[in-house]
Amino acid sequence: MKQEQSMRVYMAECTLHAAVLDEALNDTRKWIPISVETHLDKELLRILDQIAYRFTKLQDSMGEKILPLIMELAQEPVSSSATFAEKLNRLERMGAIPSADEWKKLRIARNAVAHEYPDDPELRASAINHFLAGAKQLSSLYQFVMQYIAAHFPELTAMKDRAVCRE
Amino acid sequence: MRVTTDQITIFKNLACRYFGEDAQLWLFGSRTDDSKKGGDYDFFIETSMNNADQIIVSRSYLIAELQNTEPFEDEKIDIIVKRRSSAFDMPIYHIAKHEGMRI
Repeated sequence: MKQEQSMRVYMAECTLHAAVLDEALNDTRKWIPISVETHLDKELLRILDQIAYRFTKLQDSMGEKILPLIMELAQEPVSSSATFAEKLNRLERMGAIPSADEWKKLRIARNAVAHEYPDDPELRASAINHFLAGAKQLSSLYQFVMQYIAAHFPELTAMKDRAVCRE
Repeated sequence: MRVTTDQITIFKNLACRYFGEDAQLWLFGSRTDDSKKGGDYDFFIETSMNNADQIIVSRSYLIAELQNTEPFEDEKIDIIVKRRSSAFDMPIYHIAKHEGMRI
């Protein structure tokens, strides 16, 4: 029971990160794709900061909270010494994530803009486009995981709906 | 200079794997200053690679791989890449080369 309660809290947290991320991605419409000529005005920078923040939050919460808890709820036996990469492979086999490799690539996509210095405009454009593509992919990955949870632990989503109704 | 020989060896090996054997490498910023404490690792790479997308992907992988090694675990790493073929110039390129240390 306790695990299920925790999962509901984590799902609510991640759903908020994903919603803000999607909204911010939607707000980049008038600038994308970023080119050498794109002027990085304050409005775009603010949106990119917001995406970077939610990207990191969503990825960390999924990696540290939701994914390990899915394995516990599914009673997947994993040795306590298993590395994160081994856990990802197991999650892929369970069908909880589309691919372990994609998850690792998303960690790397976040690095595209982890950068404090100005850049050659062509490199800058490429970095932002890679980063935005990664953010979109992370959002889809989150939806995939939510569908897995709804299909395998229907009581979690059902109880969540009841809780919402009571409010 | 506040960087270990281990860190330099690891950086050189990985940076050359991603940016070519002829890549030239510098460490610059606060890690070259013995009077400071902590801080990010700032590296400057000059490469013959030209394709922007390839450079960005290489840089992202390089940072991820460095952070997977024990000496760079949990460290913040910033890498500036300059393309030899590009005429684009910025003051930071000169600062990195002249105030930094070639590694």
